[in-house]
Formats: sequence, structure tokens, C-alpha cells
Amino acid sequence: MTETLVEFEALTVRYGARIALDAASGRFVRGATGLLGPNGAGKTTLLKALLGFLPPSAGRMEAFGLSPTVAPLEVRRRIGYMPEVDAYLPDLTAVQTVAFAGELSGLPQRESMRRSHEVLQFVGLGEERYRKVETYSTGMKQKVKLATALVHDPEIVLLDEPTNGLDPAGREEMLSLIRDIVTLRGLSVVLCSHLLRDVEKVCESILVISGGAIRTQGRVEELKKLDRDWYVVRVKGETDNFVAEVRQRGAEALPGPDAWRVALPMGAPVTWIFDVAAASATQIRHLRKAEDTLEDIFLRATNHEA
Amino acid sequence: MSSSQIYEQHYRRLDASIPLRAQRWIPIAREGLKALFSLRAYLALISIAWLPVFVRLVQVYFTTRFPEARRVVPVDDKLFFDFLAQQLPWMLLMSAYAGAGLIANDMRTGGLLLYLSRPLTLVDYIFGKVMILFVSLSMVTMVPGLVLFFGARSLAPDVLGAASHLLLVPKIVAMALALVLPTTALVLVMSALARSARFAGLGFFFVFVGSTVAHAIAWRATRSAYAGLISIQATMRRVGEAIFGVKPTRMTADLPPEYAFAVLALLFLGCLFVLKTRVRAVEIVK
Repeated sequence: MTETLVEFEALTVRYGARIALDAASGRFVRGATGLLGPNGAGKTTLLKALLGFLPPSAGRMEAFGLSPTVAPLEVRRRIGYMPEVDAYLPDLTAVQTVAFAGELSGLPQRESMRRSHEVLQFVGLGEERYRKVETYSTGMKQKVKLATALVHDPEIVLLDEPTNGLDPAGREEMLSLIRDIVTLRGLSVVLCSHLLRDVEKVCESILVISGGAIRTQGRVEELKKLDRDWYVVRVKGETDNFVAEVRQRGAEALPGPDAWRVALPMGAPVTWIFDVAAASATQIRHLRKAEDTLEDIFLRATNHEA
Repeated sequence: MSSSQIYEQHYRRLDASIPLRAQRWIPIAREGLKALFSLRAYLALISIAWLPVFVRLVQVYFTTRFPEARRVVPVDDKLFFDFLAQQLPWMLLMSAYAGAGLIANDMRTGGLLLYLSRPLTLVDYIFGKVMILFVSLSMVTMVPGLVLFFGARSLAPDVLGAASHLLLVPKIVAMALALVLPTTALVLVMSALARSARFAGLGFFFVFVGSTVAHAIAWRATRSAYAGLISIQATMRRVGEAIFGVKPTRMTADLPPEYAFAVLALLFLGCLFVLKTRVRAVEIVK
């Protein structure tokens, strides 16, 4: 069984009167986990609760068997955090910033400077590392944030929207770095994003969060397999009648960009769709088995909320 | 073809886990001081603030050559009290220059997250910042005060050479602390509240100088020594006068020094409380 690094159960976090996490339960396992959700779903709040910044008003959270509210320093020592927003120190070069971050994490001064050079080379900043961070482009600042998250060699790295503000090439490079951290360096990563493509490229497991609650979670491959048979259907005639008939028979129909996605009832043959079409006085013009994507899983999970 | 770039693979895993550091504020204080001492303007300020030490030492030397001059410029406790009181403007300048951006800049650039996502407590962070300013301000109060004492003692052993005069050391330290600690806390609070170093500096001056002006107005209106309690400068001075046993000024002559000390202690603790509630990794918008 995959080793669990972080576990939370019925976790509730409030910002004043507003509930940001509503009895959320889930776990981050070793490897790359995607934390997917629309903006304002509670992704960043979950990460901040894990860092011990936000005390939960109810529920339980454990990282490496420790509670972030009881032992925040021990938990943070083993976590690398790359925040979504800018996080640098004025007047310091990248190499000084990262070395300082290493020292704050407990590395001796000399070792910290050595690690700083190494991780900045690793993220691809090369000679640029001697420039002040405030003069950097968005992409370079993202790399410095990644380097500061890695400098103390954490067990798990929390990446909050790491590709924000990057152009396609920069995005590709950042994702490639993250993949490298996981596959070649053996670190675990939580990639927090609202971009499905980013998560799909890097992560083996996902948690879908929406409205402050975890809607679905598990290994991407298993989530795809476990789902029922879905078909992409386009009909001629009154589409609304067709959809109504599908739903009346207890099956599921979801709108797609140019066609409907229909899930057959358990054990039903594909001819079931033709029966529905006949009953709703419509004709099937296009029918193919849908390939389940992360988008399908995400849409279904977030539709749960609606 | 993949568009990902080739980068050097220098990242390596650490062999041992990093232990939690005991004095976690030290790197914060050290980096802050290193940054300050790399600024020429800061070094120039310190150099100018040290000029009065040499002037006073010349004065002491002069009195050793011409003992009758001691009737005009005596070498006693008042010399050290006057010296520290005269350092106040320098201390204010240094506070605004060195302290206004200490927290404001971290808030502006998100640096606060860089600190607080590490194995550090809020107290470590605040203490580190306090130490930067404490050392900076001590460089123009406590340290020159002590240098002046030991310099004067070696120049005029007949006047300051007795063992009993060593009591001046704790007196200098105590008055310097009365000047430095509340100022440090106040400027850090301004820095945490303003989010801009410039506004923090202006706010600090406004509060410090404003309280002195308010004291002058209140004293003229009431002629009460207790009006001095609203002035940070007057309370500092009154505490200093009590420490060195110096005759108080007319405006604060009847002000009990315990009250002045209580005001400074409350200011210091109140500022620490504001810092602890204001500085946080997550903005809570209610």
C-alpha cells in the first residue's frame, strides 16, 4: 500500500464567519498528488492548515504522524512550500535568498550556501542567480520559489499554482522540473492547481476539492477505470427529449462541448442508447465510447456540489 | 519534440535530517545587520553619531589638565546622562532609517511567507527583527556610552577611578535600555502597520515628535507634571534622570519616575502585543 504522508479527517477551517474547508477528509500519499479545484475551492487553505498557519476549528490533520497545530516546527521542517504569491526578500540575490531560506530551515551557514547554488543550478537559473530577485521575470521568480522550497531537502513539497503567470515554454519547463523532482529525486509533491493539464502531466494521484470539501480522490488510473461506461452521443431531433428520457431511466447525461456524454446504467448494453432514442423520437447521429479523462473526473466531482 | 530545456542536475538528497535549531532568530538578526552594515548611509549615520563621544572625551581630558574647569563642566553622573539624552535624535534617525522597512518590506514582497513557512515561530521572527534594531540603536547609545565611561575613566582616574564609579556602567546600560527598547518596539509596530517603509518612518516620527508637542501643549494648559506621561521623550528623560540621580527639568520635576517607567513598559509591551497580532502568515479577512 502507498505510504500516507498527510492525512486529514473532517477538517473544518474558518476565516471568521466564512467556512473555507468544510469537513474535508483525504490524504496525500508518497509520489505526486494533484490537488485540483476551481478558484476559491479551498486548495490554498488546505496547504496553509498543513503548515500550521490556520488552526482548524474542527477535525483532525496529521503530517508524518504529527499534528501541525501541536508540532508546527517539526512539520514545517519536513515540508517545502512554494506559495502562489511572490515571496522574496528585498535587496537579496537569488543565491542569498535561497541560502537564507536554508539557514532558516536549520542548515548550517556554509552548507546552506552550497545547497543554494545546487538547487538554483537544478531549477535552471545558472548565472542569473547572482541577480537581485526583484529584478527577475515572473518565470524566474517562480524558479526561485521552487528552489527555496527545495533547499532543505524536504520530504514533501507543496506547490501552490506553480505555473501561474508562465508562458507555454516556461510552463512546460516548470512541469518538467516537478516531474524530475518526483521521479529522479524521490521527493513527494502536492501540486495544487486549477489547471487539469498540469496535474495530468505530473501526478499519479488526485484529490478534487470544491466548496471546501474533497469530492473525489485516488489514483488517476483507478478513478478512470472505476467509472461506468460513458459514450459521446449526438442526436438529431429534440435533444432535450433525449436527455430527459436518459435521466428518467435513471442514467446520467452531461453536456459536452459539442455533444452529450451519457453513462449507461450498470450492466446495460450499448443498444440501450438506441432504445432511449426511439422512445424520445430522436435519431443517433454520432456514437462513440468516451475516453475518460481527468476532465471528466473533475467535472463529475465538481458537479456533485451543484 | 519536447520543448523542455536541458538544465544541470546538481540537486542531491541530504544524508541526514536537519535538527531543529535552538536560536532560530540568529540568522534573521545576522542577515538584517549584514544588510544594514553594507549601506554607506547607515555607516555615515553611525560615524556622525559617535562624534559626541570624542567631544566628551576631549572635555574630560581638558578637565584633567585644568581641574578648575570641573566647576563649569563637572565629570560626574550628569555628564553621562547628558550624553545619552543628546544621543536621542541620532537614535530616532537610526530607528526610522534602519527599522521602518524591517517588517513592511517583508509584507510588501511576501517575504513574511518565506520566513513563516520555515521551522520558525512568530516569536522567533519578531525577536530576530527586534535584535536588528536593538543592536543598531545600541550602537549609538549603549556602546558609545560605555566607551565614553571607560575612556573617561582612563583619562581621569582621579575622578572616575574609584570602584564605586563602576556603578555608572549599569546606569548607562539601564538608561540606554529605557531609550532603545520602547523605540525599537514602536518603530517595528509602525513597520508592521504601514506596509511601506516610507509611511512607517513618517508614522514613527509623527508619533514620537507628536507626543512631545502634545506634552508641551498640555503642560502649558495645565502646568501639571503628569502631562509628561503623554510624551515618549519626556518619560524616557524622566527615567534617565532617576537612574543617574540628576535634577529633573521644570516640566517633569514632580513626575514620579515610577510612572514614567510604567508608561515606557506599557508602550513596549503594548507594541509587542500589536506585533504578535498584526504579523501573521495568513491574512484573515472577516
